[in-house]
Amino acid sequence: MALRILVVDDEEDVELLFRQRFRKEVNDNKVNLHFANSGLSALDILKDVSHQDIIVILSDINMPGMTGLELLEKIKAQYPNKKVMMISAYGNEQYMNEAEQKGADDFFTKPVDFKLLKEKILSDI
Amino acid sequence: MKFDKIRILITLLSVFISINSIFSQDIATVDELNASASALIQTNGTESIAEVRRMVTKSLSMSIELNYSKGEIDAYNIMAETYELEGNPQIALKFRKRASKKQANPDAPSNVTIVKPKTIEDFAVSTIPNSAKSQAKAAQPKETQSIVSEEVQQPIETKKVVQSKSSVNKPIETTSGNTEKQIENKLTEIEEKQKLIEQLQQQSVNEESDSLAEIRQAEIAKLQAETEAAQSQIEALRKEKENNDLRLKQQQYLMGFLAVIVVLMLIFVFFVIRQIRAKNRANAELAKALEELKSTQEQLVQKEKLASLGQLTAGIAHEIQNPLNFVNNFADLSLELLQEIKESSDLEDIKAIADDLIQNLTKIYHHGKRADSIVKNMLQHSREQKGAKEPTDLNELLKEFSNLAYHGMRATNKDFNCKIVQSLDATIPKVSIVKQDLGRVFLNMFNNSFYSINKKIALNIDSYLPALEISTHAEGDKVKITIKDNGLGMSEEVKQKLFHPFFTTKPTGEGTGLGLSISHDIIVKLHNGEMQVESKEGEFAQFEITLPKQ
Repeated sequence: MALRILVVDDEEDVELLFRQRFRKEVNDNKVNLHFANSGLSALDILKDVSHQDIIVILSDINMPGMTGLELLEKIKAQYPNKKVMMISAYGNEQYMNEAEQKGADDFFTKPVDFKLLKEKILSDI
Repeated sequence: MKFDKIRILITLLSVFISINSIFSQDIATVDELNASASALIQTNGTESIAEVRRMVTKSLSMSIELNYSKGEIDAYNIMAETYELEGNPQIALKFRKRASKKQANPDAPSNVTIVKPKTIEDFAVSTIPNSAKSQAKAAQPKETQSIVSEEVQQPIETKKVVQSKSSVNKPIETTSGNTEKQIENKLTEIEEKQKLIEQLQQQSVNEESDSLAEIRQAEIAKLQAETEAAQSQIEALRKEKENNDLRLKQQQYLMGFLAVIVVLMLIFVFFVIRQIRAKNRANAELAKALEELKSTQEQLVQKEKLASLGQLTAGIAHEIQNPLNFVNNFADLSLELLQEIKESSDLEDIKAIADDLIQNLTKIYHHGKRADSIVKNMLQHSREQKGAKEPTDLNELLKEFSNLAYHGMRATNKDFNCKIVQSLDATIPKVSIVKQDLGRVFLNMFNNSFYSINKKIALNIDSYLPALEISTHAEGDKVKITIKDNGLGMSEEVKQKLFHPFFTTKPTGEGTGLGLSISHDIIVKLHNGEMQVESKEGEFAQFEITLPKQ
């Protein structure tokens, strides 16, 4: 069964980037990718019955409206079993500590090292 | 006549009382005087006339007093002799007549009554002319007058003095001092005259001869007239003096007044000069201060630009970082894809990979451009020189700068978040504007909005959902841009001062107070637009920018 991942980022091109990066995994049906361009739409997707099996959420921190850290809190409150990994352009400790406190499972800084990301995601399964 | 009888009685009484002793002695004295006078005139002639006359007048007065007719007759005769000797037979004749008259009637009282003179000279002066005048009166008054003039020296001199004085006094340009002296002289003159008048009056009282009295009175009248003339002259002089004094005082006042005016004018001139100098100095200082102020203002404007730029540095870094990440990632992916093409033999596969490659390269190009644009905007923002107007897509500009502002805020305030609602009218035409200037305005608006929202977030209101609404729409020949945030809003007082330079609600050091002032200038002065604010304190703030399409 493919691992269903939800990627949350306000940048549209993130979807194309992820699809190409995980092209092999997607083709091999190891990974199933979903995308949301804001925290609110991410929560909407998670609410959807057909998406209950999304286990991993990859979220950017800097987004208009709801920030990645707020989304993290909400997901952890509603779905304690889901894994949330944070991605930020600002690799500062403050963000990292805050993400950790709020229950983030991992923290990546941009530019994302996809090799490392894949390893982490796939090894967890 | 009654008077005469009394006189006779007194004389007789005196004769009886002093019979031998004094009486005989006095008569002897008279005879002696007459004899020596006669002897003197015989020996010395004209030389001793004055002395002889003095002696004779003495004997005459004594004779009259003693009623000694012989002595009187002798005296007359000697007097006549002196005049004859002088070559004045007419007066001499008169004396002779008197002598013969006395001889004919020795008991008849004498016409001549003489006031006792203090000295013989005085006596001579006052007596002889009188007898002369009384004689002259009948015959030649004119001559008598001349004799009087000669004999009576004092009044004549006085008259002369008066005349000379008056002649001196005539010019008006006499000084006050001179006038005073003149008055003093006049006064002494008058005193002398009055003394003389008194003397004469006394004489006239005693005189029994009407003719002599008349002459005396005429003289008195003349003297009085002279005195009056002198007094009137004094009066005139006094008046003149008063006038002079008055004029002098007026002149003094005038001089004083003029001096005061001159002094005042000098002081005025001094102050004017000082003020002009002070003004010149002040002007130079002001010009310098203005120059400094201008340069300070320029520096402040530049500082404001740099301050907003500094605020954005993090946002800009983020904005550049993102496209760079895409460029790197898509380039990396493209390499992988090319590797796959090399290894693949399936044409369909290769074609699919080629499509991906095209897509990737397009993205690389797009994000490269995006980064380029951000860098260019950043440079434009900090540049000082004025940019040219060019047709610009306002929607794109708004998006770009709202992103910059948002990420700038995010970079510095981790708790910050805000929903950005964009309702941008895609049909609005490109508007000719100076991109960097309008970009600065938008950036300023967004920064302010986010600042206000962030402050409200800090209040921890549970139901608060931060939001920024950006909208554009065409309105006739104008384009309207509305930026509305639900931050803290502003009071009416703040609203009034909003566009004033250096007005800021931010703490010291955080805001220059020039952001909205410069923004207002850019919209109104540079682009002929309008800028309006609406707000409700604690609820919202809305800025409406209207720009003409052309």
